[in-house]
Amino acid sequence: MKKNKLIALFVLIPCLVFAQQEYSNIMLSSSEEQTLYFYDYQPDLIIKADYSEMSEAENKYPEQLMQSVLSATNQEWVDYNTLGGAERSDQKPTSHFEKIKSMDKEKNYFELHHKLTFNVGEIPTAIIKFFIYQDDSPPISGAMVMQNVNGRWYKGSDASLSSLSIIVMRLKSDVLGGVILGDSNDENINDLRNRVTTESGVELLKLEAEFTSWYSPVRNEGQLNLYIDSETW
Amino acid sequence: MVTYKKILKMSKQTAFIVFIFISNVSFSQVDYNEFKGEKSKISFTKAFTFANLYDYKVNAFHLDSLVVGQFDSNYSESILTKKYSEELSVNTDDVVAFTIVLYSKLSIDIQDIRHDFIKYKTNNEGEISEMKILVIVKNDNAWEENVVETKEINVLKEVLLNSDVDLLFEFYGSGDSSDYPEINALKPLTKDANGALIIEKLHQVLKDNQSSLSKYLDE
Repeated sequence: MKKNKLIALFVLIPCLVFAQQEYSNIMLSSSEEQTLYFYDYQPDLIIKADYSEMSEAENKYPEQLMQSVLSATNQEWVDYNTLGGAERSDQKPTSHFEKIKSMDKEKNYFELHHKLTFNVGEIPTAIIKFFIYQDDSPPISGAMVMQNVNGRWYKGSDASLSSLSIIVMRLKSDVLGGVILGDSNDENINDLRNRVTTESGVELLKLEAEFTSWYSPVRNEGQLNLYIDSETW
Repeated sequence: MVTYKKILKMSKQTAFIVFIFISNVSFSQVDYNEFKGEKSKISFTKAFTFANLYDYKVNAFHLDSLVVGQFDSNYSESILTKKYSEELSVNTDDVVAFTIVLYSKLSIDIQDIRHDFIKYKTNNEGEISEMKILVIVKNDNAWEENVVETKEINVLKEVLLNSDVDLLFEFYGSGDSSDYPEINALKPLTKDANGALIIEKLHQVLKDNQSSLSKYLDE
């Protein structure tokens, strides 16, 4: 190869690299069949902000992480609880931490209702349905997605799990448990299970489609009354 | 289930008892292993948050995408050129003995970590290698060769090895093309409800239909 061609190539390669774009141009997904564990906290498990220092929060269990989340009194602690650390964590204002430090722990706490645990790829993942109680305000429902990396649980934000977390939050515990475990004596719950389950277990796409059909194109109050926890948002 | 509204409905005395009970389920006394639950199964598809297919040839305006020297370390390709630094070092301004031919690159975020799959061949004084894939990963803002073998990474490697950019976009596109009748028939088998290509299904389809699809592949 001659010198002039070589020069052309050296010019070409950097241009070629700079031409690469930082955007998605194709949607890819991965299908998984995973073992799933369902746990119904009976009675509902109360978690309070009992950690006073970050060093007390080992976060070896999802419930410990939730306690750590509720107890966090500085940004470093918030980062510690979050998968991806400071780059991914919510940036909280100082006023937030002042509120945490001064809040009445007996009136501000999590009430855990049920939990799913399964792997996403090779990462242990848990989704917990909870209500947060804040002073004398009505409780607000939520679902926290957590993932375990190197033995420690973190708050995660896997986009693939956003619809599942809403379903986990809104379904009644006996409905979700019955659908997943197939141990319900309720005919309506078993009907739902039959609609969303294949030999591969609960098929999330079917469950999502079923869930969406209760709200759209028109609200199906009958189905909502059967399956949805009316105290969730 | 003890909820706020239910507590309000109780008599003050009952509420007090419930409150004491709640307080007594002190977290420090809990055995976390009790919360494992009962076993079942779930199947789902997980979307990759970022995926970009890059065709070196198209973007090089139909010139050969030949690499004869080292890339800057800002680019994942630098790990590929470093891998062949000894071979590339024999090239001079006048004579090129060793080249890397770049074909395509899949950039994808796996568990929020950028992975680049680079498909290439080497040409060592006319001796052309088979098609290869190098997986490069960005850790702490620096590129390095991936050393972690997972099922997902292996599937992606084989998908890229058994396809090319044009073929993958034909599978991905919503419309059919008369130039690719085999792909038109196969593409519904590879997609999820959102139109994303499911890599495991794509992998299987590419594997099962290698002979009929081979005419579309990079030479």
